[in-house]
Amino acid sequence: MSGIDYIIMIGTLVAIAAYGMWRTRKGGDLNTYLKGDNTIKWGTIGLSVMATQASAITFLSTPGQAYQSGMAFVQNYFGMPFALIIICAVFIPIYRRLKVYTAYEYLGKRFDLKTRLLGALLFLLQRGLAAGITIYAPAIIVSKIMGWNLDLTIILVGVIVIIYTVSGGTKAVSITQRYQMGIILVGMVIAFVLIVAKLPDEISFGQAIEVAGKMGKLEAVDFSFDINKRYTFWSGILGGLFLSLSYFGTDQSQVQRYLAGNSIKESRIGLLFNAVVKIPMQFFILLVGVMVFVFYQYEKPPIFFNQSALEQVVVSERADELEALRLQHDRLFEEKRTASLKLAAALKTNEQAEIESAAQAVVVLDAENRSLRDNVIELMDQVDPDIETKDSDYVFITFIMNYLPKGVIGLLMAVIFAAAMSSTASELNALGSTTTIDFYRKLVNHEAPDAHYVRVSRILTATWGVIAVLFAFTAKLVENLIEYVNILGSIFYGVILGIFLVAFFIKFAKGSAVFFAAILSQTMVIVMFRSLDIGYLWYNLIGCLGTVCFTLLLQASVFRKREIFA
Amino acid sequence: MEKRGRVSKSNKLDREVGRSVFASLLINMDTKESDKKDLDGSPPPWGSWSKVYWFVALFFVAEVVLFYLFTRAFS
Repeated sequence: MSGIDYIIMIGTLVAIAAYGMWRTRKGGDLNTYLKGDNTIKWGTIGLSVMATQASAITFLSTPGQAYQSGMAFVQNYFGMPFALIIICAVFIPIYRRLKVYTAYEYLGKRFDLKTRLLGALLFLLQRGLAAGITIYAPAIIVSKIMGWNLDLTIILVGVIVIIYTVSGGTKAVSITQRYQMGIILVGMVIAFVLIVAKLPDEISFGQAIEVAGKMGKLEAVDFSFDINKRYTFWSGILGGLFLSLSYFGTDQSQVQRYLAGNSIKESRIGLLFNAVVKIPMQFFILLVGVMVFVFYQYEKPPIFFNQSALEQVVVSERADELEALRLQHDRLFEEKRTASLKLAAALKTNEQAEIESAAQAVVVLDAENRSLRDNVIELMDQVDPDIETKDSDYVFITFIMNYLPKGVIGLLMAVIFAAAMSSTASELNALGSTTTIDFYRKLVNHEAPDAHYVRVSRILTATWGVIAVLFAFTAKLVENLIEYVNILGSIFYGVILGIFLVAFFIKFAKGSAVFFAAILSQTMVIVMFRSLDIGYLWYNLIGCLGTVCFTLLLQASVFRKREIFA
Repeated sequence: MEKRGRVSKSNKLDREVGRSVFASLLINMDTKESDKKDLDGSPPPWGSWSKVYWFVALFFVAEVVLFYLFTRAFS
């Protein structure tokens, strides 16, 4: 990376953070600190919700996902618009009517203190760990590619986020997210234009799309009922609905974003803006990945994108085997390049027979290339089973570093770190708010002036920031940590959603029934997780249904006559 | 067998649950009044929230149709 790239990257990140601090320099009461004094408009809410969801790994992984598996991943978001409609119609009016600071405060008003604390505790457990990963995941990838010191990268990102989140609270988070999201969108559009411009002269954008289509990368919608397929229309609608309901409706890092609106109208439009824009945005990011795939049909890609992982084979005694695979890879690439050029030429002349035969040749060579990559992965696994054998996260950043001009590299590095900072800021803001409102104000000191709670909230936000950075430091000691945290999230998310669904829709259910049902359901999920071997996403549904069913059973039996422990 | 005129415990519970869910949906979701005017008095865009929700749902349907046509056209 050149000097100009460093100036653009650091300048962009620091300028946005400084602007957020400057705009919120006057401080204010607890409402201002936790809800942004209700002056935030729908546009800022919409971008803030979007920026909270889109972490750095979204912009690194999603193009890599499309590069390897095509556009089908977009179906994962199909349940989201319906979840957001339900949240706008049901959740927001209740949160606003009760004037709550946190989603769990509602549980206290609807049920009792113990249920509120249980909901808040489950959130703190899962989000506290996720905050560390949000910093760690991009830092590890970028530091490997750039040769930066990992600990220093983590500290740099962590310190900037902690400073502006602690200083300006919710309003600073929302304001900075507006500009961070702006930079992210501009950066991705520039990247897309440059990728298309980097294609060989004889390949137009239309032909690039057709080549990708012939190679099976553009299958965005799959209506089949095959449950073994990871992404179909039906799994997207059903799974996406539950996941989005849980994430947007009960996760304080999102709830705090839309409760910052100055009216129900602003909150709702901000959220519905995401219902409309999110799917096309994901489609576009996936299309960037597909264009990178087409680019690499004409320009030789590395045999494996995670070079630091590959280096471990290079220095091992099996380096010769890797070299042999490299030679095969080079030969295959040349054959595939020739076939791809033939396909593009056939598409230009629109000769169907030639198109079909060229497409067939490209598909066969691509399958051979995949098989070769599998051999490389197997070799890496044999050299050291602990080597990271998944390289999709490295595809887009490798392209950025090798093919984009000076200045744009700095801008896109700013995009990656802006995304990391925007989601971390929301998480720290929510963790600090929940600890202050649901634990400190309720259990420790409930009659202090606002200024005291603002001070406590600042201290707790900073404390969570330090915990996140410390967790990011130790994260490298644990293998497959990102997956581990996703599993942890799935184990808790279902139960939290179940508690909220009971609160909203089952009026006769009381606190004790839902509290013990949630504990039973959580125990059941943990026991199932330890004893069964099923996909972890199912635990979202199992936890949710378990909580609802156990509540109905307990309320109809044990807690039918009287409410105990209220 | 239940005697006519008497309601079993389970039936009573079913009815309670059914009423509760239904009532709660009516209470929590936009009523006719709140569909036209928010709690804070501000009018929704296009006159009612249900129109906005329908727009979002139809926009999604249009997106899926476009994606499907896109998939069919280039595969």
